[in-house]
Amino acid sequence: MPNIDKVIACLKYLEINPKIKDKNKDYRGRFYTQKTAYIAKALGINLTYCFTPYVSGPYSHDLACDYYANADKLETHNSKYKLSNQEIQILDKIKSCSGIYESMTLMEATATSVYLKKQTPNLSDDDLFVELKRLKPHLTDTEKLIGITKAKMLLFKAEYLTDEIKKELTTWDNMD
Amino acid sequence: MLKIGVDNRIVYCFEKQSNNQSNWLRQMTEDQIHKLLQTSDKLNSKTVTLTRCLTLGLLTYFADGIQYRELKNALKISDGKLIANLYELKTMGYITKTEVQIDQRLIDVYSITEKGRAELTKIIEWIKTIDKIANQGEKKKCQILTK
Repeated sequence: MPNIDKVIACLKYLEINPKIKDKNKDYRGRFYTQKTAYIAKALGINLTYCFTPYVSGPYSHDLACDYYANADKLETHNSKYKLSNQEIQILDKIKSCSGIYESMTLMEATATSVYLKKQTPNLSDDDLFVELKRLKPHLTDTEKLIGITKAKMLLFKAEYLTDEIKKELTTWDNMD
Repeated sequence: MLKIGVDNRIVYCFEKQSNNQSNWLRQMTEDQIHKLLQTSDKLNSKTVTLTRCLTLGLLTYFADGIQYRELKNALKISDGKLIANLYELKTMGYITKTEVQIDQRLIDVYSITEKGRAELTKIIEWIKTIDKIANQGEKKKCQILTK
């Protein structure tokens, strides 16, 4: 199954309707297509597109070529690909990440932070902030901080929540 | 002997080849140099600057367009220099500018046009010709002569 069909299925599930045919319109739709495809890939959906973080990133030239070549399919959400339960779970996680589909700058900060975290998992928060500042100097500090938090939420796995951490969280919740 | 006045090292290298090979290489070099001079005439010299070539290259890769602020960060040049270059490329019809609302702000987004893409292709072909000429002959011998 071609990659683009998977991307269309994801966009359909997330109710994103980009307009591709007119290149000078709907920058927003194409922006969300790129970033959503990247986050979906980072969280485990099998897409073979390569993304670069530089300039307008995370961005895939191959994905752009694919959606311009399949503009009709993309605009009508015409895909035969059936999402698996695991893929739906990933998309639900992206959907529940509030704010990223309302603010483009927040989506940019979040997607870039996810990229940096995936590239260097041991990167400390401070280093992540510095790197994000280097790549995206036009984002405000607040946008960068919220983006980093959102990225951590997206990359959080259930197995990280050990009994010990659960116990500590309950203690904090039951305080006063 | 080639009387091209470009690079005597290449000629020196040809002399070391067998006669047939030498003639063939000489003919090839003459063709390449002819092509280089011909394509140079067809190029728009206003486009062949570092900033403009880089801008066209980036806009070709980022097919959806690049925000002004991202371009500025990537090229690391002043606003004045960037605006002047973008204005010139826009006037020549190589790029277009559209205003996009990103959250509450209006941001300029630049995209390449078909004309811009064609001009960049010409530049790439021209550079490829230079590369072919520069790397002809036996590389090792040329390197020795360059020292």
